[in-house]
Amino acid sequence: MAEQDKFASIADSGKPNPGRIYDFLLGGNHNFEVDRQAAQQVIKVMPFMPKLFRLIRWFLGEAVRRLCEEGYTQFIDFASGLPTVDHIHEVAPAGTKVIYSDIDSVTVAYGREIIKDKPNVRYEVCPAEKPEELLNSALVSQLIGKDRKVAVGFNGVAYFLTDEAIHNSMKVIYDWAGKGSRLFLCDIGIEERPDAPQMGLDMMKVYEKLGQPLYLRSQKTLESLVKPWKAIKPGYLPLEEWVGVKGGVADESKLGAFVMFGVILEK
Amino acid sequence: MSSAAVIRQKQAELKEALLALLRETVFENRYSLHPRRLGELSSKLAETFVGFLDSPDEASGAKVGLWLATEGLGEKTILQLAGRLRRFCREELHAAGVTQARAFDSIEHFTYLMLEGFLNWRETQILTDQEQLRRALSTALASRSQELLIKNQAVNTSVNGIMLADLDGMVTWVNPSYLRMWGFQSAGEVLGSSFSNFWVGTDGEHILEALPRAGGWHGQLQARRRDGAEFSVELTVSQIRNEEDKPVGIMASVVDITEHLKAEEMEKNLLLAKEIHHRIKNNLQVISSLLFLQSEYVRDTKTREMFKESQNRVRSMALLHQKLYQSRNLAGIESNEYIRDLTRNLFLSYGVSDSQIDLAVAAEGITLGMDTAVPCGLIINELVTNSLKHAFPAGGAGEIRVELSRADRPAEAGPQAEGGNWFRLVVADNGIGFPDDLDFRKTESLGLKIVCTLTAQLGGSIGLERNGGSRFTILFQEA
Repeated sequence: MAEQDKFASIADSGKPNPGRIYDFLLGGNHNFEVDRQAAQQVIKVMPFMPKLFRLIRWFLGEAVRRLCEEGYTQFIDFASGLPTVDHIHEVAPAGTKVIYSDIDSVTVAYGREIIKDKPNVRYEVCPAEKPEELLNSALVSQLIGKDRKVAVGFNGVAYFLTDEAIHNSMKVIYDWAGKGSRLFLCDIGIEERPDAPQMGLDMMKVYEKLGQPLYLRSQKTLESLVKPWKAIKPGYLPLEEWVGVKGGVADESKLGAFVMFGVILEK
Repeated sequence: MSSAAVIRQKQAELKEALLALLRETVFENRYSLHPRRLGELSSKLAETFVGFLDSPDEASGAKVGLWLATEGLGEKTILQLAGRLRRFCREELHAAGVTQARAFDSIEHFTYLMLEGFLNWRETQILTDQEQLRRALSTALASRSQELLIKNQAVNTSVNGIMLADLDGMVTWVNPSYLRMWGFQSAGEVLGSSFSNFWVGTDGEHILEALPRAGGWHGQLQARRRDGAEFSVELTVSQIRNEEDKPVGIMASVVDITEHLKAEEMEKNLLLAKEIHHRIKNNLQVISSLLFLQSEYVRDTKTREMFKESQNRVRSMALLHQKLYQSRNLAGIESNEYIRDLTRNLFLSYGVSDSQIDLAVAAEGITLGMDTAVPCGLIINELVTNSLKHAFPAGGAGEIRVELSRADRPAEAGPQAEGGNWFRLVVADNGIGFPDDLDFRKTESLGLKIVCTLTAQLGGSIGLERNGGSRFTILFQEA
């Protein structure tokens, strides 16, 4: 079944949509009752999920703010979800070029509706595991042009991708991006101990049910997968530390075996 | 210390209290409120609230509520903030001896308006967001509908015959091409019939049986039309799967390959025929070589000449077979090229160079079938040989001309000569000319005898003009 078809079927308000569930868990209003019910199921099994999603979005905002201060004016974002409040174009100064992308064509349709009045902001369908589809597109050539010094967002998606897919995406983006480019990403890190994968089993089961398998890995594994990108200061940190809050995901989940961490990388 | 001074002093404490509360409830807010902004928010809120206590304005509560809503505060947080502000007035300021009755009286109303302002904004925002969502959904659905329409048209107008059936193999839909291939007038004639009915033998049943296991089938099959006639098809059958990857039906895509198979057969025959012509050419070349080798043992010039002439005759035929197997199809010989090669070989055979005798060939656009080309080639071979041998004695210069063109059917041609194409062959030279007293039809020359015999064989006529050389004109019909 073609990817397009697979996701086109969710242009149906009678079925829960991952983008809208995500929006609800973030406290947004771009969702329907069916999404809210599905989200409650997720919360029942994983009560820490709303916190997790907020942390991811706050980290994204934090990274964008830092990168804008450093002078980055071009952002390309993968697995963007809905570009609602506090997404890149809302955080970055006016005039910053932002290209969002998502695998879900319905989310992209929503996204386009939301950004339709923003001349420097675009939204395209692109799976995070095939970044070349976006990077080599006419849209990117038109908006970004030849200056490929960009900041790339890759947040809240790594745990949906296999090791091989992440490594490939990182390599493709690295090869495409100009020198001095940055990539900010976050992922779930599990401790490297024999029982660790078992701890995320409930979470994995829920996502399996939603038709989206979850791939949990250690920070060390991720560090090897993102090569040749290199981490810059402050390096790999739990998201709570990035954004300055206490009582994050690890406390809430009571698993104590995984942490959501973020990093800014450079070429 | 005045009440105002005490309140100002307490502002810093209020700010810290609000910040602590905001930190506690940080995950209750909308994600748009970044934790790094909590300090700024608590400071501004404390300042605004103290400003209100200084100069009570109940209406400002709504503005504060609106502001906090736009900042992304959650409902739980704002309720706690309202409670905290009331407690600040009732307990903390009271304990500090501040008794500003007017402001304290207004605090309930202020926080009420603050909550109302907050909820109004939230309500508006929800409506705005939901409207945005509805518009986006409509756009997505419209785009999806358009996509489906195009796909529907693609299947409907496909030149491949397409059939949809349920999992039991009962036909649920066919496209116009499918109806056309099988000779049905309307879909009603096939809907509800079994997939197996459209094929010769039990192949259809076997495919249906294998489908759940294999998931698909592809191959060539004999199909049976409505009138019973059989035709060959290439068939692809696949299971239609739903979003959960469960099979919900069957799709068959059919290409009528009858013409393709015929073409393949013809291509095979063509290759075979070309191979035969190749071998004939090789054999004729062997004969030509044998004649040459044999001639090497002959001392008598005349006899040796006879060998050479025979050799050239054989070579003219070999050349025809060569041209034929080199052609794209075996439909005929491209005359211009053949005559050029044939005459060039003769020039070489008799050691005549182009600079000595000009050769002009004009046979553009004439293609002859093998049955006509063989006698025609031999005639040209004999007449050009004749010119080379006799028209230019003692190494004289001149021109030999060969022309082949389409001709009208001559009036004197009998009724049996109707239908076929007519051609005019002219072989001329500007040499010394054919002797006036010699009747070419009655000469002892084997070459001219061959010319006359082959012309007759072609049902043609031959004429000779002797003005400034010799000009043979042969009118013949394609065999």
